[in-house]
Amino acid sequence: MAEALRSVVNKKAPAGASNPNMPATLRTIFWPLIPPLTTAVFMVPILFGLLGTWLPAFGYLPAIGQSQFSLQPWQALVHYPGFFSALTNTLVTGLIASILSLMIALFLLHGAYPSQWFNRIERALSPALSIPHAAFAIGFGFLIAPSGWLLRLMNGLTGMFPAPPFWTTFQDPVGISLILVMVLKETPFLLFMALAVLPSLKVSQTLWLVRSQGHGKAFAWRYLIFPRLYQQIRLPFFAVVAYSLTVVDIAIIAGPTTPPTLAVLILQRFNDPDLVQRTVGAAGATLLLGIVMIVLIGLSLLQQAIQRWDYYRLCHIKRPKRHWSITDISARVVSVFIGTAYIGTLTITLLWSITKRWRYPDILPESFGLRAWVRLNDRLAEPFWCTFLLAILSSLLALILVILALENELRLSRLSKRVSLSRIQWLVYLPLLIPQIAFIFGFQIALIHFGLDAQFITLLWSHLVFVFPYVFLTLSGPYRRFDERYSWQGLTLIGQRWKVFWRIKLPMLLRPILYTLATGFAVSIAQYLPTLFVGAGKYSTITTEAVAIATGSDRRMMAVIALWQQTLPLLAFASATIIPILLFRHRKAMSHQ
Amino acid sequence: MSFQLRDYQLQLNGQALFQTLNVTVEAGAVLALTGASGSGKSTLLSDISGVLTAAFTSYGDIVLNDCDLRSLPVEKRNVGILFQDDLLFPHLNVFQNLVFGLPDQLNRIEKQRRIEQALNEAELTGFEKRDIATLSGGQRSRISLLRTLLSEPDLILLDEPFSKLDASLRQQFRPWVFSHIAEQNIPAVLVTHDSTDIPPKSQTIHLEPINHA
Repeated sequence: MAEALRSVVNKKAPAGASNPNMPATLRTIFWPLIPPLTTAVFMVPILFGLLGTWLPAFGYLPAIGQSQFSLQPWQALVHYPGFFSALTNTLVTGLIASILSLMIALFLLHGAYPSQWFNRIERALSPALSIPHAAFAIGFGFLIAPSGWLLRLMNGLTGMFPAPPFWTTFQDPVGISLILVMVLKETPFLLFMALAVLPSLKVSQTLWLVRSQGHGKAFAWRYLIFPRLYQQIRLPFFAVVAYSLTVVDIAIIAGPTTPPTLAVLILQRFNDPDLVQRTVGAAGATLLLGIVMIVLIGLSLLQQAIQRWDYYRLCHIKRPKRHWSITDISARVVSVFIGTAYIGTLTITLLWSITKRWRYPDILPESFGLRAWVRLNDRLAEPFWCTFLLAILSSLLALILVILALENELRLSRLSKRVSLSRIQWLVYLPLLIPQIAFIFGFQIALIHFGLDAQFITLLWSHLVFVFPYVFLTLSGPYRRFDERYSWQGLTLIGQRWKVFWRIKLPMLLRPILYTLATGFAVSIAQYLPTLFVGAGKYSTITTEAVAIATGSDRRMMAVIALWQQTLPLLAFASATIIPILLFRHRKAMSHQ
Repeated sequence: MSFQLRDYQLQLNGQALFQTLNVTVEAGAVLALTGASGSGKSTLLSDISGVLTAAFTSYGDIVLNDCDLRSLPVEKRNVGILFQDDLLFPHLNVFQNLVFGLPDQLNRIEKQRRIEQALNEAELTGFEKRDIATLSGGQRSRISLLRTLLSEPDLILLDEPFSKLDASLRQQFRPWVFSHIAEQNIPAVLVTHDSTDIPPKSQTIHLEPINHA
């Protein structure tokens, strides 16, 4: 309105951002609607979901005849058998996994960035990230279980284990296997996020400068690069912390069982035939949200304390001058370990999927067959299409919303309105910082209240909540870097805004756009809880099937479903790489951006 | 054909950036604007083109062929622009880049004829299917100008168009640009901080920063 008024009152004011293809009134209504609309897409489910969880947590759930506020659910939760062990499991696995992931990521950077070696790591990141957590956990189990490949190989070399030992190396009560799975999956994610900001930190120049002044490389990383790097990857790290403390699907597959982690315990309460147990689950979900918030606040305080300590140390320590090549070597060793874990996991999954008969000490299967593939074929037909449709539709919808939001950002900056990028960043990260289990039950309750549960469209919406942030985070960088002078040039030449957008901006951004779509696709495929709750048993996906099958004991079926689960995102990323190469095979400047 | 600025003033936060301008550029003539960096000369071009950001306000009339440009959006002003970067679209070949400038109503044969002719004049015969990325800097600059001229603008703006070329290329490219503009018989506004860029006998205005102290 303000702009409209101004151009009426002051005829001489420039009409720089006007768009003649749309009537002025429509334009002034349409664009200002974009920020609230995009925010609503993920905030409405979160707010309804939190409310729908908090009310039952305090005893109010009219749907099952509970309409008296009370602390009963909390008492029941605390007295639930195994509650405190579950709480301990959650804290131990979640905190160790997330902090270890950060440490390893920073260690790899310190030891190997920038180098030829690191370029190799960088190339392996995208495929590693595309593997869904559940599929990875299943395969990793094949590797480290007492009768797993690792022990078979060791027995083959040493003959020490003629029979599987009675160790629990997978789903162990302490949660070591869960920690390992999370660390192996989260370290690449943190590296990936770090790589996006490292160029702006000018690492090579900093190292050069510091070393030319006679200080060691470790000093430069520890005191000059890490503090700034952490500041920039804090939100993705927080997302990792929130995820590790509250994840359900891989905790079911790789986590401790009796008692499980708190998140799994909560899911079991939600699924209990005794409906009153839902209020106990709601109390647990609310508690988990509180734990995450406290941990994140604690980490922020810790960061401040370390900063102050650093400042003190910088003034007082003798700066180490030596350069330890041991970090360089061990960084390479660690990355080889991680790479081997991925390759081993994939190979053993492939092997199990085509195994007919494979007895314990044998290193390779005795006979091969495709029975597991055939058996799952019928069972997977429907979940497959459901998964595919959810993934493609949610990533496309998210892409459209994100492009509208980013175009609106441009429009606002042309009008010289202040756009707070850091506030947008926090807002977008919100769905990744609030544990899924803390609001997805409540969202389902709200949907039931409005008669919208078990509908494909609301299931799609629940996926969109988590796809949108990743799509935004992936596309916003390249989109904001686009040189708008190309659009200006195009406007002076063909004079139609939508044509310029369609024929110049979109094709020039095709590579990041396809990569973004693939990311959204992979995120949707990996969703477990949204399908479980909002799908309400009417809809199942490859991922819900994978978790269901993984709790069984048929390794062949587990292997096949794990492969299905990782094939889809892998295909998406492969197409995102190949399509631009084919389309622009005669355009050199478009092949390396 | 002529271009005029009448009582033109450019302001940032309510303060004028340079002196009030009153100037007329006739068809075939070049107006050169010089000034220190930050003097607002490129901002002035963005205002003439129609993409001034709202942080700036401008007053006075911008008149092209007796028509006030202020009421028109960038795409209707028929004002061409040439930047220091060639800004050729990297996903299109030479022909596709050039065809962008041609009016839609021309048929395909006419479009081909005009592009062929333009490439001939630029000594780039047969370059239609070439990938932009395989061209030399000089070739790209020439194609960039051709693209702007093919769109038959009524006014051309040149934003330091030679500053990224090396010395020898500059010397060849400069007279080539101005002779082509003269051929089209349209007014041109050149922004530069290098006085050797300015063709002889052209009108020059030095933008003086206004001291508000």
